[in-house]
Amino acid sequence: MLTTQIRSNSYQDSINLMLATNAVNAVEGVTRSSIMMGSDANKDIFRSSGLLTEEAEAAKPADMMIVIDAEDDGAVEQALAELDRFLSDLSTKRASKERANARNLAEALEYLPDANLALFSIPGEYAAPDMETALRAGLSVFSFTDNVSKADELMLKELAHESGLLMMGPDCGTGIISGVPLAFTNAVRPGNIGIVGASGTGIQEVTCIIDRLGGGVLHAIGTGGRDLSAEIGGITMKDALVALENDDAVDVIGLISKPPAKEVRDEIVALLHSLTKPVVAVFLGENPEHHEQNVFLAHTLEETARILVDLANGDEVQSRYDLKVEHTVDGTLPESATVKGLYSGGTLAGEAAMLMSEAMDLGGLIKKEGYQLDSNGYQVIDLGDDMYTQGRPHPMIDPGIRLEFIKRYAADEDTHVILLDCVLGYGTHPEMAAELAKAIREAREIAASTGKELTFIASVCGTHSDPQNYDAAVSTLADAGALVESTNARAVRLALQLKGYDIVELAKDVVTVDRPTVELPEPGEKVMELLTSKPKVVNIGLESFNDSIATFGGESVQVDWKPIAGGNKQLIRILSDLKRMPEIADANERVIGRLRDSQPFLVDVVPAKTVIDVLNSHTLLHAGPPINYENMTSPMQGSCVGAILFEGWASGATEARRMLEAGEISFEPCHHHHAVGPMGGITSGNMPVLVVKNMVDDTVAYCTMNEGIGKVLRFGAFSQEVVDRLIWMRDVLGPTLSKALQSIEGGINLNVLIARSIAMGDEFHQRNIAGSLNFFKEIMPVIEVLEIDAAEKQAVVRFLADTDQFFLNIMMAAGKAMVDYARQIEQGTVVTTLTRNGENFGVRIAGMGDEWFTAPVNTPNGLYFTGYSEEDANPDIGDSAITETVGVGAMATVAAPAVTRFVGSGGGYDDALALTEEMDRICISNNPNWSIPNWNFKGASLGIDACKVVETGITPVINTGIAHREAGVGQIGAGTVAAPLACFEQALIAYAQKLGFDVS
Amino acid sequence: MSVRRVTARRMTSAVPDVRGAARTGVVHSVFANSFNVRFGAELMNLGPVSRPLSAIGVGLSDPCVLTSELHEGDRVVIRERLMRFYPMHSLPVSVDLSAVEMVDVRLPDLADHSCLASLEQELREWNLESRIGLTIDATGREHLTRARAGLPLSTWGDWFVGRGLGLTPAGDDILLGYEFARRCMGSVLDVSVAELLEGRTTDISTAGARALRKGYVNEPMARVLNAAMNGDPRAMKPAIAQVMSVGHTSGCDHLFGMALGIQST
Repeated sequence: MLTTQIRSNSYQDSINLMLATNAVNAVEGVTRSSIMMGSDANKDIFRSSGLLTEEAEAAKPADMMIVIDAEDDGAVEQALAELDRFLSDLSTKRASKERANARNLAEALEYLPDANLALFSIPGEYAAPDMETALRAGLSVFSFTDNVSKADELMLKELAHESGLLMMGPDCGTGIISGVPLAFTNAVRPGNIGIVGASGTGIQEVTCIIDRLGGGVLHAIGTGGRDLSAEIGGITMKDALVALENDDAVDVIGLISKPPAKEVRDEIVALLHSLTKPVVAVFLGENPEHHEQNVFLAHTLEETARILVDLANGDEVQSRYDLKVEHTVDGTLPESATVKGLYSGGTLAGEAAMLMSEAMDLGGLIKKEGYQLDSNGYQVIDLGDDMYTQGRPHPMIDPGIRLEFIKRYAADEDTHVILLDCVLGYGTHPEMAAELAKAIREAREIAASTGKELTFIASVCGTHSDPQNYDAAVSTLADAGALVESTNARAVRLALQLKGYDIVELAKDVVTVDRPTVELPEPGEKVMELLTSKPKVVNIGLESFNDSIATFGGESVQVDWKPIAGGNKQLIRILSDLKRMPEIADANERVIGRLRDSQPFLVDVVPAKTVIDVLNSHTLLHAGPPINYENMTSPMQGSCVGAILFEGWASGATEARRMLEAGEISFEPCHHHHAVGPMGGITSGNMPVLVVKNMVDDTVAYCTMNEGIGKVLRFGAFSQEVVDRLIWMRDVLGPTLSKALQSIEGGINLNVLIARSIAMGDEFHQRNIAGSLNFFKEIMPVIEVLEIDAAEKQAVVRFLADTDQFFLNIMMAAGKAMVDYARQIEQGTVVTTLTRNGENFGVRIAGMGDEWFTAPVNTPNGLYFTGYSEEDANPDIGDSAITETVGVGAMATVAAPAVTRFVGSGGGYDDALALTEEMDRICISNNPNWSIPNWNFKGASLGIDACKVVETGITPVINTGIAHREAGVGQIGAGTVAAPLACFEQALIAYAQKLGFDVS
Repeated sequence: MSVRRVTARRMTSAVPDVRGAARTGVVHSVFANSFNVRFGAELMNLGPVSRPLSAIGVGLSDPCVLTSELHEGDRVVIRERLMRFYPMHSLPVSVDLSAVEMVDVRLPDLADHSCLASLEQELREWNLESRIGLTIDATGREHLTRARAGLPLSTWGDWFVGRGLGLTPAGDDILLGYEFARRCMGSVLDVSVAELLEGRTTDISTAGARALRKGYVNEPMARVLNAAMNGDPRAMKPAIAQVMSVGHTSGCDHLFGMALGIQST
């Protein structure tokens, strides 16, 4: 038997419901069940499985459809109980999770994966790309942030609309979602009224009056002041109206706005006449003469609230709502006496200006330097206008500007009445009424000293549940001598009565007019999810906005925001453009896939010239991006001398230097020939090189062998001892290892060695002892049986046993074989090379192929051998950063806490972990082949993303040996060095240009 | 958090039939297992269907969701047979009134009052006076004497109004029990308890008195009366015990007043 239960407005995400279905299906007596939200797509699934009952067919998208096929009623009852238990457990688990502040949206979504709203209060100049990111992540946006361009607003609103989301704002000062106050908002009781409004204090005044009249507001959706402009076309207003129409908990809808652009107005009015629920609309500045069927048109904010409450109560709408003032005045002020309105709320100022202008025929509203009325000495000023908030807080937060104006007008001969608003609620000054009261007392004294009676008339925009409490604020103002009226409109009426004028509201009948209607679109599924759940908010900006969310049952996670890319707008725009291209993410995945799927095998050791053709001439390879001999630092030049002596091209160092200075030797980067070289990286034709083959596509990479420690060529030494060792490596070590490797079928699988060694504490740049031992373990049995001279065999074995870093060069060749396989995909922003030549740091990214992006290299920070200091250090050098490029070295510092002190990354395990976590932030993925036990078996970071580097400002850190700046001295310490950010910035700019973006 | 729907299973005939109307109200008070809603001047008590209904009671399938989330002042809306609650700190919750069973809690006309004598006899065994929520001082004892003597309520009732602690003070409950007994016997008081309490005690006491004035009682008291009318002493004890379990001393206070009323005639 099939049993259906529809739970209206009971949203759960699909994964939870799938898990819930599994739990229900496990109940004894249940044959099968399906639990999904009532979207059309889900109904199709029900239909195909034969579970679409009549009741399910009628479900709305925000309804949970539960259809259970069970043996009897008892089983159904148990199944439903199990479902309730499951859903209840979900909420308990979520609530108990502790959270720290997130650093960005992505991290915030890890803390709060079911977040459905991003609340922005960050500088407008940086906001649009972040808001776009939030929308693309499936979150609606509430933008308290202002100063967003109209073009960006249109782009964001169109994106939100297409994605079934809401884009509230920019410049949305206030809002209520499912009873949760957001930003500058009052604690309004929830109820069956839903409001959509362009303005801030307009919404606040209406919702507060509703609350004080005993009604309630479930949602108040702000659209921002430009939504009803011709350019924006009321996108958010329309989406919000459709959503409120579809929310079963809303019976009556309110709309608050300045008059829209003509063409937008027609569309909005058609939509209002198409809604089934009654609507009360106020277009501030208009004085309607009638209501139109189910669309009630109000004159003031108070009238809007009162009609809404009557409709919400099921009462008849009255033909007229008089503004009943509490105080009685006699209207005997002299002709010259004027009224000044000093407002903190823009819409309240606008309403005051409208009512005064209508009553006294003052020529209507203006919008000039914060003035909304400036006629015949009558002025209404919005002190929250940009004119008065440049470089200072809004007057709702800081009363300073208003106190200055009160003092100024107290001394003004003609000013006899000052109108004030006092806006309460979350975000506003905690003692605003007291601050104003003090100023009122002082101003009245100043006025009295000149023989003038100065009357203050105030209204308080707030509720009894506001943190400042409505009654307390009213008493405070009244005690100071202000005449406090219950609404702004009444306060204005009282001010006018003092001058002998009055406001008489028009009586309005409901008339039937023939208005066009439209077919109502389906609401966005995520919008309905937002309106039928307590908002789960990613709060990006003002931390205090979390308070009201937590108090009223929402959830939030704070993002400690800072501008991405260091606030560089060109780069921010480029990052935004690149993020919009799904093909880049796809390319990055493919590049990373190649790195991950690589199968490097050490297959041989051969003379370099046999595999690198250019080395059959007087050419040397060097580390890093291209460099001339003249620009090389001393150690690299020393290496060149050593290589020439080794090759026999010169009889001594002097001749070698002459050849180099005369340009008789050509130079090319190792990286241009599938090779890498440690430190100076100088490689000549007769030097033996390790041959690593990536078995996936036979990409081959080469690297010279590690010479051990002490005076070595790679650090610039070129004495006879150094040359003799190189000759021995050419004549004995290389051929011996070659023979040994030849006898191992397919060579040595380096992935296996790397995986084993990382678990044993290597990070493969500074520490390779496990890798060297594991290599020794593989190669020794083979060397043992080689038919070669016993003394030579013994020398080779001794050399391998003594050389802790022998595996570094194998790892480098493996990294190069991986990278060159991945680099065949010339798309995306994954970093494919990190290297240094002592002068510059060089970076290449996948999308720019072989092009180098360079910036001056930094000098490492680290620990020095006794007798040396930073002054002796050579700028960073070497191709060994290929290890970091593939995710080990400093990227995997946590794998080798034993060397963290040595490389200067802090000292303890926590520092190693912190560094690795930070490096992980700039990578796209992790390599499951190289699991790090110390990191809870997480795979080494993989795929450094130039976008992430530029966005966060975190550059890859390299573990490195430190060479003495004079050739021949050798290694004097070890440390870390950060790659310069400029390389990555240049790479992104170039890539954006290549893709055709405007990078100006 | 998901929105849940609760079903109203039973509702007394004393509750204004609001099912078809569009009305708004507020949550008046919230207790561990039940809560009161105010529509205009009318109160409604909503609690678990497993418990006997108060005179103005509605029995719900699962009131826990509401009692845990509602607070005084929360808005309530009735539309299309749904009573929608809007808790300040959580999501709206609906109570479905469409399939509610109406429970008749009107006082029956007792043709034969003799059953009340046996009820009064039974009540003596419960030693009620020592268990009520009021300390009866010398003045109080004088008023009790007047009550037992059947003197007009207006001459002694004031002493009891609002006397005692809680949302239904013991003095109010004694008066309600007294009027209940007198109404059972068709005896008209010079002034109704509702008139006596109006504006002088708690809203909940007043609401109970108003219902009684209209001839409605709560289910436990009705059960006691039915047991007495059926002359079944085995049913009378558990019915009385059920009343005794209401509130801290509220049920006992009711029964004490009831005994007084019977004695007064």
